[in-house]
Amino acid sequence: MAINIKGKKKRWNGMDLFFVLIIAAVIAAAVFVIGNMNKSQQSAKTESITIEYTVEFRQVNNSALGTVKEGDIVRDPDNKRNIGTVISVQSVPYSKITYNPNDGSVYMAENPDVSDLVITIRAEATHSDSGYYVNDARFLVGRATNIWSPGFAGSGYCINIREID
Amino acid sequence: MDNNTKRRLGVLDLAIIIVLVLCAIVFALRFYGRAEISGEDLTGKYTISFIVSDVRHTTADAFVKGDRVYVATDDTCIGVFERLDSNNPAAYYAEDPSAGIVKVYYPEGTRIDLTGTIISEGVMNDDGYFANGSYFLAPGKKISIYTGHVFVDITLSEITEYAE
Repeated sequence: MAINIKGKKKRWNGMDLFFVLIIAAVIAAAVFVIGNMNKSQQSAKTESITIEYTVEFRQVNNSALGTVKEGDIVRDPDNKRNIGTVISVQSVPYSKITYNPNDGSVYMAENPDVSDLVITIRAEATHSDSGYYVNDARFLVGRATNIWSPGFAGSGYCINIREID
Repeated sequence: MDNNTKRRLGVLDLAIIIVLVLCAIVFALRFYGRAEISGEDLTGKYTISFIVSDVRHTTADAFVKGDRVYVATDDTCIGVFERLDSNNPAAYYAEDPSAGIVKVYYPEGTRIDLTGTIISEGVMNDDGYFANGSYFLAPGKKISIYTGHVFVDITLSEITEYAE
């Protein structure tokens, strides 16, 4: 190290070189470890895309149908952020597989009191290896999804995601 | 350094020693799992077959070839999704008064069972298969996985050497 001590110029020696190598090794190790720790972050999110995602809410009481409408803004209950606008609302009677022992057949028996509510929402999103993100809310087919709208709150599963050109 | 004076341990020396010790600990922790692997290692590509049971029929459309597959609990990448091998109505076990438990199937367009394949790189040895050399996987293991498009629970059914 070029340091003047009492007028003498200090010269590099083996120990200095050793320290430099150690510091380089520590930096390399840190980069390696941090790189592995970040493996979960996957690829960087890309540009914004428009998606339509569909969420199914099972066994919704029929009295709650009609509380969510096209044009409603929906929010993520966790961060209260806007996660899109409802573009379609459908409901079908909730049905459950039922076995008929007389003939060995199965059929889907409907329950007249509850329905499956299917809501499609359009939003601006980004996409990465870990899914679609709308205002930090993550969407994947098969993943649990919670939404709030002015007249409805529910927990369902995302059943479809479509990118709009 | 002045050869005529005895060098004393300074703050910088102490800091370097501490960094070195920390570095050694980090490396030990990072590679502990790998160090335990013993026997003859066969490193390469492997085919992981899996089963997805009782999911909505639309779920099959969300599997995209080439998507990286991550374990949901710790975000470890275990490979790349290759293909779905089968897509059949999900099994349902019903109680029959005369026959006991009978196996029937969901009607078309409702619930399905899927089988599929992931291509993984890892190590196979006497202890089993380790994706990326450290993440243990074996037939029968149930894990939640996700890709860029889908999130499902799978049961591993077979791990074999990859054949082109």
